[in-house]
Amino acid sequence: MKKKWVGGLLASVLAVGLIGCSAGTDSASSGSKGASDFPKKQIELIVPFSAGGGTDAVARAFADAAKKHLPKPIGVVNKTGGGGAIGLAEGANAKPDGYKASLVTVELAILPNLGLASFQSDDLKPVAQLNADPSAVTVAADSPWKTLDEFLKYAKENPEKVRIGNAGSGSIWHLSAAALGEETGVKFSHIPFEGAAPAVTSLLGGHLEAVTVSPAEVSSQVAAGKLRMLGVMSDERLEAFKDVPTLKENDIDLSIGTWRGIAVPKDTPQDVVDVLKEASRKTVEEQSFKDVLDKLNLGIEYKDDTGFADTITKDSKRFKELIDKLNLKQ
Amino acid sequence: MLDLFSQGIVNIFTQPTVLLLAVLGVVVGIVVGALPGLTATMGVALLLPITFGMEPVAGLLLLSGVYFGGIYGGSITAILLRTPGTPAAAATAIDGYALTKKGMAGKALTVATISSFTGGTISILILMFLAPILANFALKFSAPESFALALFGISIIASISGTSLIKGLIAGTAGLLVATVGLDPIQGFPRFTGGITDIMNGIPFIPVMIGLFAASEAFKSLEEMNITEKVKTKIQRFMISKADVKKIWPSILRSTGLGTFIGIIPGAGADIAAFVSYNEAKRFSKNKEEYGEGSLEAVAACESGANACTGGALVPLLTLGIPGDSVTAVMLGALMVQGLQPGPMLFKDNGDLVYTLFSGMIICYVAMLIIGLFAARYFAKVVEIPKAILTPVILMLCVVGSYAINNNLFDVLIMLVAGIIGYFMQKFDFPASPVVLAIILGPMVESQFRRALTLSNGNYDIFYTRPITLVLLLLSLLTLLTPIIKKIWQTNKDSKDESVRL
Amino acid sequence: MTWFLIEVKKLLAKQIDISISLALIVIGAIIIHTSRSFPGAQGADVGASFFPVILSSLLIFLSLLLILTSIKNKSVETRTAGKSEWKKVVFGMALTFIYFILLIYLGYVAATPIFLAAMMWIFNYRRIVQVVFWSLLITGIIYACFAMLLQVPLPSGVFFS
Repeated sequence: MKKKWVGGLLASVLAVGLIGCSAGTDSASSGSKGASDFPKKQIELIVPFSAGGGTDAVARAFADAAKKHLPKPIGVVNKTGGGGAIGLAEGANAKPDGYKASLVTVELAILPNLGLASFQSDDLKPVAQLNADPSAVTVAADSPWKTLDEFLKYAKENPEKVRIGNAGSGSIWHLSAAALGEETGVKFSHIPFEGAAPAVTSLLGGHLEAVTVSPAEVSSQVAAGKLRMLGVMSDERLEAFKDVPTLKENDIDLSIGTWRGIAVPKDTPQDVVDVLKEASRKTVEEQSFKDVLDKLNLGIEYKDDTGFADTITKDSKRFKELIDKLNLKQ
Repeated sequence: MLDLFSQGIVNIFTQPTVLLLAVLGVVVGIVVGALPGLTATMGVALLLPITFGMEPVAGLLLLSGVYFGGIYGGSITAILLRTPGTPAAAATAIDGYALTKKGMAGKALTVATISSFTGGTISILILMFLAPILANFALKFSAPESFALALFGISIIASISGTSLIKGLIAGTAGLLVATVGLDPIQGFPRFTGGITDIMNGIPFIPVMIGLFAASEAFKSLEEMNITEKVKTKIQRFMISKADVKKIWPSILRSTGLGTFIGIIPGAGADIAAFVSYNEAKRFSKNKEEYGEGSLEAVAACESGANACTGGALVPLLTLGIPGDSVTAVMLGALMVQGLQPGPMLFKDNGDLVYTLFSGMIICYVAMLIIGLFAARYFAKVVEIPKAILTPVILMLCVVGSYAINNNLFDVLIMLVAGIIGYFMQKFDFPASPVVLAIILGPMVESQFRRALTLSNGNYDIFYTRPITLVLLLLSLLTLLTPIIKKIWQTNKDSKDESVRL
Repeated sequence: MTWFLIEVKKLLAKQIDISISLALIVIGAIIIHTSRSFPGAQGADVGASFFPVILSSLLIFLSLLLILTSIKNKSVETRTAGKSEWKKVVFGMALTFIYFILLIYLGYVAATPIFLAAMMWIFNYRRIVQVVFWSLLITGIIYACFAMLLQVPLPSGVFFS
């Protein structure tokens, strides 16, 4: 008697489970038909870098703040490896239904040009850009260079003597230093590190002349008076570093840096993209999102899908030229 | 300073939530550390978003608890199951598991707990009183110094080789070759990748470690698995005797010093500290022959060295704002989100908060000691589980753990291959730990060597004109050559004896 | 007779070491050959092939040394591993591999109890109720630790996503 009862219970549990499963698949397939009911289930946001880093922080702050603007939550999944290539490839190859979105970074425009990716930068459809950080030329506070002009003058007179640390061969900060060299006709010695932090440490220890990483990476040292920022490679001065001039003010037409945004596989229907775009626009306005980025010294820069697409195509073209010139393609 | 400290203790005990969160952090940390594939870094990173909404001290202590507990927790599974939960416990697995096989799991766990506590607490005290003095030492470490340190680490291969020195050296060299797979550190050229994106950044080493240590041992235990004969491993005792304390005390103190020192150096973490501590403990030990066969001294050395790293790594983070390893990089983010800017100004502007934090960290360690000693009895029960249940579970944990690191099924495949290779290595007397050590340090040796030369514009002077570099290089030479010379001397003596007998 | 067996065992042990060494020498040579196509020294940098070539040369040297010592060495230790049950080990490895494949298609929740139960069953733990109980319980505990407590996702399987 008892056994029967258990059997009945098991059967009903199984039945319920099966119904749940089939319902799940139904909603997934119908999701691509009409956007009115998107999203019906949790959206997965792939982050191509590990938990605890800057990109991860942006993703988690975004997912958290987006709760108010989407009927279903966003779950962050870190898919690390290959300098971002694995996560980005997974995002590009996902089912184009909007349930697997990616947090894309500038590596989307770099890796294909280096010949290190299985995807192209247009395999992902941009939804919205969330953030942008320029490259900042930073030197030790006790160095003789007070302005960018003095620094470049010295570098020009001493070719290959000025050692600039970057976050790895082919990283955005390597490309930005190389672009600076191209633009001004100066020959630097580029020293790759495993990430930006060890490069900054080396600069502090006096083993380098400069770094060209993001302001966020050097902000605490600049505030403590150990490092000096000579110029930022953005169109306008940064809110947090009002007295640091842009390169454009020094008549160097260079604006380069990293960015982060949301993208989906390229065949995702436009109405689904529109839902995500609208939610992203509102999310960037959320105070909790702004707070996290501000405290980490990450710049907020919102662009909609077309604006973000422009950034990606423009950068991809520019990086291709740079990489060819530097002979970095593998 | 002392009044700030005692004020800090009072601050914490008057805020029960903070105290509770610190203890909770330690518990979560121990669980994270003990599970293969979940490292201390991951634990801290995963809990980071939760702390955004907390008070600074509460949030930071929660993370510190996870950090400390995570480094310690790895040793539990390393000792009981030869499954190092974190890379830092790889060295502990060598002698810890040998002790379990001898039926001394209880003692090994007690020693690991006490050593972790002592190493960690002393390192926090060093952080508290000497941080500003030690901080600048971190900046002296440029590429040539880091290269020399990594080479010193590699030289330890000879002393963890076990029965056959040549086989140990072969295993180490093979490990170094495995470490060259992936993008090369200076030119960014993909080496031996066969176009596989998953290994572009190198063969992920945690799956390799899990495979070589844990999966291979699980495969081996399938050989003798037979439920009919009930093999009951007896766990002798948990209490350690006065003689034990006397024996392990010097190696705990030495390793604490070494661990704190290595923690301060950017780019070197608890895994390196544990191996170096093992080697130095062996160098100065009166019972060298016990090493590798189950030595309490060895477990004490590895654990105190690994946990002393925690205080050391916080020195450059808090005083200079430099994260020396991946855990402190996450902690840097945590501090900044709380509106605290690490660096010289932190102690001036937020002195009381910093000292409350230090006091809280010591409380974390005390909590870890109590939890560890109390729970050891229950942890140790694991070895009493019938092998027919335990072995499948270990294999399942190996698979799930390797997946969890990067959410990548390819890593599981790597773990399986490493497990099979590791099984045959055991069969043919090739030791596994040199491979793991080589994979940890290989990338560091190569990238720092090449970076040093790029920095010096190709001038090799950089390796012998700098005092720290020179000392470390000479030390590595000494460490590598001593066992080799001894071995040759031994063989000569043996063959002479033999000829006499003949 | 036993003396003869021991001698055979010694010879086998020697032969295994020698064959491993030979295999490693071949691998070393292949690595050196492959490394020749890597970009060479550029400026102050020694190039991508420098370390692989040095390390493979070292590997070849050490392997030669192992061959020499195992030929010279008269007292090869005989392994005391009793009768090893190779079949069981190979079976266990294969099952773990099948578990990996099942994870891809079925996901953690479905694949794990199957794997655990199959392993226990095959390795002579034959009390049905206990096998089912343990495999479900352990699957649940690990799922709770990873997916719920720490929010680390476990494979969900292509069939169910």
